[in-house]
Amino acid sequence: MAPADGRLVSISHSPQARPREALQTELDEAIIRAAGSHRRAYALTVVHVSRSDHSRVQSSILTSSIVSQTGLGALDRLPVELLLQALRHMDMQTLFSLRQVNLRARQMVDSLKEYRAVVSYGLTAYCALLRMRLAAHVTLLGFYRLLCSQDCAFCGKFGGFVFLPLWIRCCFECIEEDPETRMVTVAEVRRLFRLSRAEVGRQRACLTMPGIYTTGLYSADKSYQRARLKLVPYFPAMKEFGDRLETGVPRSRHQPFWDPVHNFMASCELPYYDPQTQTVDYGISCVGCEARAVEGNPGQASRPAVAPWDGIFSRDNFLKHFKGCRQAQKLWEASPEAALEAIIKRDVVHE
Amino acid sequence: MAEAKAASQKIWLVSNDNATMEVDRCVVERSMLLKNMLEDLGGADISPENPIPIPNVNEAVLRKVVEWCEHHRNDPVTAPDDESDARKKTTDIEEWDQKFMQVDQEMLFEIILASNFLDIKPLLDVGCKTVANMIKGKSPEEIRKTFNITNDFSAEEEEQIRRENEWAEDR
Repeated sequence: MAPADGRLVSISHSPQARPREALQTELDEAIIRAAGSHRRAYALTVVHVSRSDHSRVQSSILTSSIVSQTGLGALDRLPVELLLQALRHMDMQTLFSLRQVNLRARQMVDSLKEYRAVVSYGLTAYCALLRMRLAAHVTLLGFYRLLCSQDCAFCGKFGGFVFLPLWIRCCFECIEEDPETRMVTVAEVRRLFRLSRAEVGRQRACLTMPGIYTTGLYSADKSYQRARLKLVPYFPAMKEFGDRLETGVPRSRHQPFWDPVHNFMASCELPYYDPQTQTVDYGISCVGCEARAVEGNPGQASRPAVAPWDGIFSRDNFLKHFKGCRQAQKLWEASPEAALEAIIKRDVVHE
Repeated sequence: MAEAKAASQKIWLVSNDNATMEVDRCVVERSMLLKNMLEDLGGADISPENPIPIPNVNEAVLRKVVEWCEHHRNDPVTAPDDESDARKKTTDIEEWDQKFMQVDQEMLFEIILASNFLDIKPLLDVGCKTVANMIKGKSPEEIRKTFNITNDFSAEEEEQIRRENEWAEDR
């Protein structure tokens, strides 16, 4: 029975016994280590920022122990809850500046759970937004909501990436394959739709970051892009100005020149954050299936039978997949941690 | 019929500096606080001699708030927790409201506080968005100037800020 003061009494486990869920989690982690892979390689062929770059802001981008005697000037007249609510609707560029106003402003932004999650798990995407001049288009709440979603907006599969100009979640495949993620140069949309300067200004233009990018889904090539290009998403421009395309001119003149590498230059890895468990998921691919795909198509240069990005699962779906994948189970059985399973089963029986 | 009568019914409010004003009941009911109060009391014994006191709100501010409620008397009532769409874009303020909010900072803050107290959510939203727009796109120094904020960063913290700016820029 609950005591009078309303505290909950923990239901007695013997001190040594660990709760069943904790054991199951440990087992799941071991299975993922043995038969899953994060495929970090993909993240390195889209927009990425090195760890040493991030280390420059490690101690200051999120703080927890600021004590400030100074206030926020005239803004102090407003109730704190109202200010915090306004901050959630503020764009990421302005929040970046606001944190540099004074200690109190910094402390306020850092107290928001949405901001804490965003800089803890989406720092690369945040950095990309700032460097690519897109941060003014994404609010803190918009960032947080996308971080807490996991499905590709186009195909519904696990999407471990974000298409930055439109701020939508997508999977690696849809970065290239979906028409909505197509990027063209500003000069190209101007030419195609004969846009005025003001109309160009309304497009969601971004400035690409120099770096190494993949040249296409089925290409093993990567290219170093040194120049900073001004790109815009083609689809929104097409929707708004498509009627300006002259009829009767050769179709080829309507086809924009576009290079798949541009799509990858506008995308970035973004893990899925589960606010309930406060864990992140980058997506897991099955090492068993990959081994089988390589065995089945030795030396095949064109589209492989099983494209590696096809098999990127959320954590939960990977564990479901594992139950039916013989190859993955073989890897698990051969792993040194397989003995864990027997121990856990024994403990669970004892419960 | 009864509804029409209730709508044209008059209510009297008195500001904290003793200015009494006559307002249609349906206008007063833009305030959830007053709406609930009138539903509980019936409003029959409200009169010019016995107005509803609005503490913390002076005449100038109360007139502004009533002006807003008059203009928006026929707006559909939004669901109280409908955050997702109504407040999606910080910058979206309809033209009349933008003009309405062209007041000095002091008055703006008073309107926000009054709408918070009176529980007029759409007006509160417009007020908060206006403040957000005053911050939006500004540099740290411009924000300090706008709201008279003191910079209290130490030299070490200024150095951190320099590194943050490097990180956010491109090389």
